[in-house]
Amino acid sequence: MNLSPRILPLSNKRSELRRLAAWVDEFATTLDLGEPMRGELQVALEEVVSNVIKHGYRDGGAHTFTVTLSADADFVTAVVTDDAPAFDPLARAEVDIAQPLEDRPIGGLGIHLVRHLMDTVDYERRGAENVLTLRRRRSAGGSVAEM
Amino acid sequence: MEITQSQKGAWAVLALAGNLDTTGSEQLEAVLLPLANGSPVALDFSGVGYVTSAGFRTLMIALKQQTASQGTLVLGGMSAPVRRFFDIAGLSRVFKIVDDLATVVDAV
Repeated sequence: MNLSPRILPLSNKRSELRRLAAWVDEFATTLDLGEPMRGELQVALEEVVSNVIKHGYRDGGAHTFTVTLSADADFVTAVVTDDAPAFDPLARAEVDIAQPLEDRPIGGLGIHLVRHLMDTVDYERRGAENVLTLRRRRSAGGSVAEM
Repeated sequence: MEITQSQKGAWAVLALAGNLDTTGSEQLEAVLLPLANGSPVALDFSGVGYVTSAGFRTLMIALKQQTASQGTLVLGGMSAPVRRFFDIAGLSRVFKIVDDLATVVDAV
């Protein structure tokens, strides 16, 4: 089942994460995405979006950015686009999960989860915008009825 | 997230229903952190759908509190997808995770 892009505009407030979760859930229901894919998509998008809300804009002002979700037969694609200062979350060093708990920084786990839950994650600075594209193959978790 | 608290012997048991995301973990933090003061705490994950880094952060703070006060924190009843989030985060061996909480809580 193909699903043309749906766009959710968000403002840079923490309370928006609830609206994001409800919207992703509705998308997953429309596509009949089963577990574990529904949860994986939720986790990956909360990580990316909360990162934009918490760290993206440094001027203290109100801003709007967007999340776009679409699907074709093989992939679900999520694109997060913001006009905050250039920041590549993938440039950050990998978290060493073998480290003892006490030595591990509590931050950094979010992008680690995103990298491992999605099949591909790509960052691009496009003009004045950060564009992060997440893709997850549908076959592993998708509904059999659609194949 | 819905959090149902009960007491089984010395154990405080929190049954979680919902998702341990930013919103859910704020709710859990308010209930869990005051309990994690040395007496044993069990978290029933059977109603949890997914866990984000915000959820892991709350659990790690609770574990550090318990470790500092010689307390125990046990997690149980996880679905396979939820267990996989712990595996990916590298936290499956950091936390004490059991299949069935009853084997731990009722044994005391």
